[in-house]
Amino acid sequence: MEIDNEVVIEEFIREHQKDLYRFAYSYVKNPNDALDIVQDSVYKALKNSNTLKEQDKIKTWMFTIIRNTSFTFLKSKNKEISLSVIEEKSEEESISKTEVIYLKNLIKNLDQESQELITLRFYEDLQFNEIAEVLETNISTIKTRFYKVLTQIKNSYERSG
Amino acid sequence: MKGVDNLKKEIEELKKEYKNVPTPDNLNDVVNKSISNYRKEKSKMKKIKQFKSIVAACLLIITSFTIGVNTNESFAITAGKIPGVSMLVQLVSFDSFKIEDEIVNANVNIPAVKGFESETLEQQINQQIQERMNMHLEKGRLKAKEEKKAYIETGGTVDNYRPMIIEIDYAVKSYIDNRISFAVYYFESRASSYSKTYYYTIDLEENELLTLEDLLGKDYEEKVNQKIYEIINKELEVSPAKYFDGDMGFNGIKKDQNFYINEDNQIVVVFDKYEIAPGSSGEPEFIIPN
Repeated sequence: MEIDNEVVIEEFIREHQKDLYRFAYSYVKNPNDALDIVQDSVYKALKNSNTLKEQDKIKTWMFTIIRNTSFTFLKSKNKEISLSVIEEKSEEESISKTEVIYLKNLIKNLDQESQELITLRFYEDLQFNEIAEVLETNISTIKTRFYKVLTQIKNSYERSG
Repeated sequence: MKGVDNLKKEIEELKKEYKNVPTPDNLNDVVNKSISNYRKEKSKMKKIKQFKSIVAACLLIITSFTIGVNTNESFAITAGKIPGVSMLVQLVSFDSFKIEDEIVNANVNIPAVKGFESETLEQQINQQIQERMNMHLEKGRLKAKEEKKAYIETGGTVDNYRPMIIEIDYAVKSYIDNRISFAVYYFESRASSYSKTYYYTIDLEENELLTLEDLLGKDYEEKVNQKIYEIINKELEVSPAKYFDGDMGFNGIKKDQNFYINEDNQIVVVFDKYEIAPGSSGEPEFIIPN
């Protein structure tokens, strides 16, 4: 009768497994580690399905779990958290156009919080309220931080040309 | 100088790269394995639990009172804040404490009403709130204790056990003219969940429980049902899965239908979670025009 949280979560995971993987990858930057993160997060999500209070917030709820699991993993591995989406190796493989490389490095050298904002806003197309949910903070903080980062990028970018 | 348009283009380019990060072939297998691991674990726990007849549950009980008082909103609230001025009706924290032990993590904030004309009714309400919340707290602890025992017996370790979370708190729904309406929540969270809601409406002058009939007249049932059907049908056109249909759906209000008074002094009819709609719709509320 009722649509159970577990059912909703399982459906979402199956449908969006690639998105979850990519988001995990943006933190750990290694396919095997990203797979581990997804595996752990799926289990955690189902086990804590009762903490999903509103079912239509499943995406940000699931992203928060991926993010927290990634942080725990990186901490345990004593890795430096750097959020560059494309790691050195894949950079060689990827079809990066030369002009993009400057911007890519610019973003890579930002602090991790700024990189997260770029990832969530530009690559994942999340709204500010959704970003606030994933990063577990309030929307005005997110907006202020985002526009600061954007100005920073714009200035460096324009100066570079 | 490179322009903003260029920047946008390049960000689009980086987005493409992000979306094009190759996903491993075994991603689907890994996800499936993780889901089936969870299921196995769960069914193991379930069997034990059924045997012990333990219902792991999330229980949400909201006790709401609407009380008629002989005062107006602004004066009552102001008067309550000025020391020495005789107090009118107020909702105050009566009993506030935390429990943090190996079975329960509880955050308790039980309210009490103050300043009623009828001290008997005041005591009656406060006693009822106290008794209800203490009863639930006691039951919750017992349940948590049994659950922990079952957890250990099925091979779980003490270190990994997570205590049950209990929260008791209150919220003022409205304070308008001669009525104050507030809710007292009991929330208990465990593996699966269900929720239940109780509402009471009390008139201070009459010293009796207010019903929808008192507020809406003899044909209250017809009025309320008509309005709710109207709202449901309209909303179903936009989102077809919002309410259950047939026997499971809305088939008229109950004799003791839950309701409270909101800040706009409107009657709000409330249903329990899952009562007429899927869990995603929460506790459906319907505003009934007076």
